[in-house]
Amino acid sequence: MKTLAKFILITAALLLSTPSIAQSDVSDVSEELKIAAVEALIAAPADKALPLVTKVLEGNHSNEVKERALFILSQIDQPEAQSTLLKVARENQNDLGLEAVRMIGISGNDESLASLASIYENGNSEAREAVLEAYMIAGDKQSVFNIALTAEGDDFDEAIEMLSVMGARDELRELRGKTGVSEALIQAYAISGDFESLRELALDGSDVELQTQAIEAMGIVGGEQVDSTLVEIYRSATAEGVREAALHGMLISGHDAGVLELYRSSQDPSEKKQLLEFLVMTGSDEVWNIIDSTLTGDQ
Amino acid sequence: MKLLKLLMYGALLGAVIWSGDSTADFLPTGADGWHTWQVDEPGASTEMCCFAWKSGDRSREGCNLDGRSISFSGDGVCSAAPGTVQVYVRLDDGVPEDIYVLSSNCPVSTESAVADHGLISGQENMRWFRTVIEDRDLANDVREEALFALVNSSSDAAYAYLDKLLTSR
Repeated sequence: MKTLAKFILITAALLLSTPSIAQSDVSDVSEELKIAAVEALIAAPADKALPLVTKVLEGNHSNEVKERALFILSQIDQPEAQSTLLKVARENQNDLGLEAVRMIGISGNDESLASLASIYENGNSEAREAVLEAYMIAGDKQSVFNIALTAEGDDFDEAIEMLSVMGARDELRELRGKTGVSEALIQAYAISGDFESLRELALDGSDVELQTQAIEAMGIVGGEQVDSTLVEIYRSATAEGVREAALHGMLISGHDAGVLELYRSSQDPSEKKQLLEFLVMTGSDEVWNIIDSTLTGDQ
Repeated sequence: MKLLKLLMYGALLGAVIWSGDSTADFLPTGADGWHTWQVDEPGASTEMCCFAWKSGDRSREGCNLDGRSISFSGDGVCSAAPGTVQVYVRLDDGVPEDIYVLSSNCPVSTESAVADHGLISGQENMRWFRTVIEDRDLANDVREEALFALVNSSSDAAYAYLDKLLTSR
């Protein structure tokens, strides 16, 4: 009896000392596995995912793991998820906080996006950049426009650069009336592909510096309309700087046919020389035909 | 000597009882090809199924396991009716290559045979997933697939495990 009792006791002890698989510790706690676990929560219902990602953000994890948790939060359409994102964005003046700002952009939540304005106002240059990125991701042109209206210096340039990337032509045009024309605005017109605004500035000779910048910037937009306008500007220009800007524009847009056309129609040797130099720069094959013709006395 | 005998008996009995929970019981080693089992876990259900994407329109469709890729949906629009959790696993050289968790109501087709292991307890199912997820010798994408499938099983045990994994050091 005594032996049987011992036997049962030892057996029970052995069984109890072997942890059940459900309760045993996780044998692999690598960073990669944790990242994969957080990413897998994308498939979980909000009520299951939210407590887990919140716990991850509050826990002692690397920024990489926490950044994945922020992404999951951005995909949860619940007020708690948004308030946690905002909390992380406000309370962390580091990469994690900046990532939280961007994730608010990804979430596209209007209320949270509006709250980013205060982070822009009170944050450093990195925070301001992250807020602009968040607005870009969310496609919120109006908020970037509002920033551009009051921003100055580099902040203004960055705001209108963002508007140009967003293709916010109407907003950029409106800014011209409110802040005036600047080099940054001309570049923004070019990036946003606003040929009309650039053409208008390119034909306005009241400020030659801005005019030449606009002419060159047209080359970035490119296309048939730009090419023909640049040739037209070159032909009608009286100032050397304007003509040269038109050639630079053609160089940027790759309109070697236009330069060749101008070369062939020119009767001025010094002008022909300059146009030939531009043709060489464009790498046009026609250059060799011109050189051959010049050597044989055809031109 | 008596004590040694007792220890041996105890160990033997423990091993016998322990082997009852082994994954090898329902998924024999070397049994390549598709395997499926239904998870016996009250409350766990999923709508996971597949959809077809044609000319921008999603349409309700079952899962073809032989397809090059499977387009999953669990959003209730083109998924199957909620059902119990059905696991599909393809083994190649004894190693899991594909792991899917689908609704038991999701129509599944394949030209190859599928070994149906019937109803498997939630604990056994969890044990199998853990062995895959925590096996460092397996390719990361398989382990990630197992994690994704586990989350799709929507079971409390799965989330309890994820919680443990994420809070372990």
